[in-house]
Order: sequence, then structure tokens, then C-alpha cells
Amino acid sequence: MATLLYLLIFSLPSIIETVRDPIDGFLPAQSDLRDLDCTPLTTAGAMRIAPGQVPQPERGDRLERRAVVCRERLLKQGTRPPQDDAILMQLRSTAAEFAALTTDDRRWMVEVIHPRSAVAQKISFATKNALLDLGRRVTDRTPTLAAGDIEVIGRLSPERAWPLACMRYRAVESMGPKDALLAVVLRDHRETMLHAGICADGEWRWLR
Amino acid sequence: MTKLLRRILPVLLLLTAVVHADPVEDAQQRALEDLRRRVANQVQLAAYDLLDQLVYETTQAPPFDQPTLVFLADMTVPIGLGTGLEGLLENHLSSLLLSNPSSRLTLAHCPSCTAMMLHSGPKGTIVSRGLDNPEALAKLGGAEGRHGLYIDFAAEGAWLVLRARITKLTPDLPIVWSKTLTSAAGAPSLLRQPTALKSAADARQEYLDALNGRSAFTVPIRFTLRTYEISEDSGTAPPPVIWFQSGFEFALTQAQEWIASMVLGFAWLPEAYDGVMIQTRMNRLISGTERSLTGPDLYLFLGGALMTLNGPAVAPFATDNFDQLRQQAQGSLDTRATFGGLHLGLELRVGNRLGASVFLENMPAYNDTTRIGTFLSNSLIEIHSFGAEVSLWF
Repeated sequence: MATLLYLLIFSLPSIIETVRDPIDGFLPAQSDLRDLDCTPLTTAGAMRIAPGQVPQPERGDRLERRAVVCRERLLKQGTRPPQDDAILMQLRSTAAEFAALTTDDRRWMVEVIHPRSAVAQKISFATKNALLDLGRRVTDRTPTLAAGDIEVIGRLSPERAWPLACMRYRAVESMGPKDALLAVVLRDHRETMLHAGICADGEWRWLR
Repeated sequence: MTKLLRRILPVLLLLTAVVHADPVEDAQQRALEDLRRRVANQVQLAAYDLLDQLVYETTQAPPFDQPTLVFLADMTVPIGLGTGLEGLLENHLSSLLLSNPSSRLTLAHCPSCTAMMLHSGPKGTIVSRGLDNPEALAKLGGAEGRHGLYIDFAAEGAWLVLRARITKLTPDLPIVWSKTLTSAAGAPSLLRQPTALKSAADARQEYLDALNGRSAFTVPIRFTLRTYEISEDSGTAPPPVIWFQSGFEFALTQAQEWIASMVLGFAWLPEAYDGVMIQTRMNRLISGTERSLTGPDLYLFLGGALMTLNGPAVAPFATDNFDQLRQQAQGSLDTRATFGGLHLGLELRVGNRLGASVFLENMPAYNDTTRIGTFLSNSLIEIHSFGAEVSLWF
């Protein structure tokens, strides 16, 4: 019993800190907390970006401490559809992640499939810029298919449609041998994770 | 009866619609619109800042070797904000590019590039914007080989992200230049002048310099000329007195609306006079509510001075007091005059460095006497002196 009490007493401060943590806290986030964009940092990192605001660790302090930097979100929750919000919140990192999967020996085209054209346009812009940041050759062209192809491919599930479309792009010479297509797709209208695939030399490959 | 029904029916339908409108939904819609408006106001300055930075960077590293015609192909704002913001940002970008030709981006108008086109060819009929179908655009002529500038603003969490790219309108549509800039929510806007873009570091340094230049405590150095009117009775003109003054000045508020000063002065004209003085003054800003960092400021001031002058030229100032009479009786040729003055004037200051002022002064010791003439005299006040000053602050 005494051991349990000791354990409880010693872990009480960290439990209290964890409860109040805006990222991993046990308490449900308040509405104003949900409008914060928080990033965990090490104490050293926090002291570097906010000198004077994070206390120096005391000598003999064996607790592993961390800091959380919270910034107010530009668009509060409810200002745009939650699904779009979830995708756009991490667009920079998603686009950079997709771009990092490409190679620099081809000219890249980007195609985005998303039910809302405004969101698709933003994803496309971010992906193209991420590719250009890596020094890739990028074009604003997108491969095209004949109406008959689209009618057939449109009836298929994404798993079968993309490989077929990729083959047809090559067959109708909409994509040349030095061209590659990076397609960013929302496969299910309910999900908030984007998928990516590459079409090159008539072969389709899902990346994520 | 039918006519009456026809007239009443639309009104009844309208009333029914009003009664059945959900007040909670309406209130939510209004709150959302209000929120969007407020966010757009906040985003606008941050977006302006990013555009300033974009154009500044193009002036430092131009995308092209030669001035190149570029048309604004697209400008989009964060999803959820209105198109009014797009218009404001387009205007700001235009003004920036026009003011900074060193960016080598020359704005051009290309209506056929942004218009919807219907193009029928062997591969089929394509409906697209001109800029998305360069082959069709080339057939229209005039727009081939031009460059389209695309700008997109996205709100990603706490970050406003500006993405820009330039695409060449050739059949391959190659992207020839791109840039991505970010700004954190709540970051103060640098409010750079479109005609004098600076880097963020330089703008911050300028801001700090301006703040440091607004120190509450300054040291003025002032050259003052006081002129006096000839007395009708004595017929002797009092000499103009030139003072060199210095002391300290203290702004009572951060806006520098009120400024108090105290200076000591020294006057010396060989063979004529020498003298010392002490002067205090209170200035009130009248050209605005706060001191301008860039324009001139006008102050109204009221002050008092105590002056003592020695020398043969100051005889007109010497009053027939006991001390003077006693010195003359003892054969002394020295003439000394000690007198006070109350002055009221206007001062024009440029920056925190240079100023010029004029003032009128009343010297109570010479009220109702004939030793010193008056520029203005009535039952309330006599103006004995007119002065002008040039000041420098350190």
C-alpha cells in the first residue's frame, strides 16, 4: 500500500501536466483549444525559438519535459467543411511527402481527383510546387483520353480504373516515354487521407 | 375575387416562408458570415505581406533575364473566404509589380488566355480556358509563348501559405518558376511600402530604428533670433539678440503629444552684448494625435524665459531701476538688463531631427513703458518681441 502511495505521489505532477496537455490531454478539448494548432517540441528547441519563456531545467531534475507550441488556427473550425479542413491542414507535408517519392529523370504531370474542384486545385498547386522545390521538371499539362475511354474507365473501381487509364495514356500517346504522372486521389469521399499513385511507361503503381 | 386572391397569394406565400425560416439556422449562418468576414480582414494583411515578400524576392532574384510579359492567370484565396479578398489581392499584386520593374515581370492583359474556349479538332471538342489549351490559343494569335502567373493562398492550420508559379503558354505548358512562402497566424504585418520594398530583416531594423528614434528624452540645439520693435518715444532700436540654446526635452507620452523642455542659452556679439538665459517650454502636437514617423508635425508651444544681457547695445532694455542708477552714479559704463518673457508660437518638426519655429513674446517688465516698442498692443496684451528659431535634436 505504501509503495502504491509513493508511486501515486511521485507521478502526480506528471499526471496533472498530462491532463492539461493540449495535445495528449485526458480532458476533452474545449472549443477554443480545438482552434489551436499545437506542435510538441523538446525543451531545448522551445528555448531556442522562445527564449525567456521556457524555464531552464533545474539541476537534478530527472523528469523528461517537453514544450508545446500552440498557434491559433487561421480559419476556425466550422468555417469550411471538416473534411476539406483535415486535408488542407497538412497539405504542405502531404505534398512534400508525395514529391519525395518521385524521381528526377522524367517530366512530371500532376492530376488530382477530389469531388470539390477548389480543394483539388489547391492540392494540385501544392504538389506541383513541392515537385519544383525538389528540382523536378513539371508541366501544367494533364494527360487526356478520348470520350469513349472515359466512359469505360469511369464505370470501374479506382483499383482497376487507374491501371487501365495509365495504359490508355501511353497507348494514345497522351504521355510520352519521358513523361510521368503523379496522381493524387481521394479514393473514398468519406476519408481525409489522400492517396498517390504514379503512372509511367503505361504502368500504374500506388504509392500510398 | 380571383383578382384579389392573385394579389394576396404571393404575399401569403412570402409570409409563410418567413414564418417557417429557422431562426437558429439563420443566426448560425449570420455568425458564420461574420466570422468569415473577420478572418478575411485578418488574413488580408498577412496575404499582403506575403505578396510584398514575393515581389521583393523577385526583385532580388528575377525569374527572367529580360523584362517579360506576364498575365495573372489565377488568384485564389483560402477556401471559406470570399472572392472580394481575391480582388483586393489582385490589385495589391498589380500595384507591387508596377512599382517594382526590377522584378522583370511586366503585367499584361490577356483576355483570350482566361476566357473559356470551345475548340473542335480531329481529337474531339475541348472546352477549356485559353491558357489550358495553348494549341487553340495559338490559332487565335497574339498570346502564344506568353507566361501565366498563378497565385494561390491556402490556410493550413496556423499558417497562411502563398504558392506562386509561372507557366509558359507553349504546347508543353512547362512551369518555369515557382515559389512557396509561409506566414504564421498572428505574425505582425511589416506594412511595407509598395514603392520601397525591403527584406523582412531590413523592415524590422527600420521599425526598431524608428522606435529608438522616438526616445522620450532628447537634447535640442537651437539657434534663436529675437527681434524687438523700435520705441516711438526713445527712437532707439533695441538690437536683435541671437541665442545659442541647449538643454533637454522630455516627451510626456509615447505618442509625443505633449513635450516639455528646459534649455540654457548664451548670447554674444562682440562690442555689443553678451548674455545668458534660461527657458522652459511646453509643446502640444496640433497636427494629429500622434507623432508621425514619416511626415512633418506641427506643435503649438507656450513658454517662459529669463534673460540677462550686458553690454552697450542693450541700453534700450535697461530699466531705470535702483541698481542701474547706482552703477551709473559710480561712473560705470556697463549696461545690464535682466527681464523675463512669455512666448507663444508654432513649431514645425521634420522627423525627430530638424525643426523651425516662430513665436511672439510679451515681456511683462516692459508693459506700459516706452523703452521697447510693441508689434501689437491692446488692453489685454502687448507683444514686444518676434522670434524665429532653427532646432536640431540629438
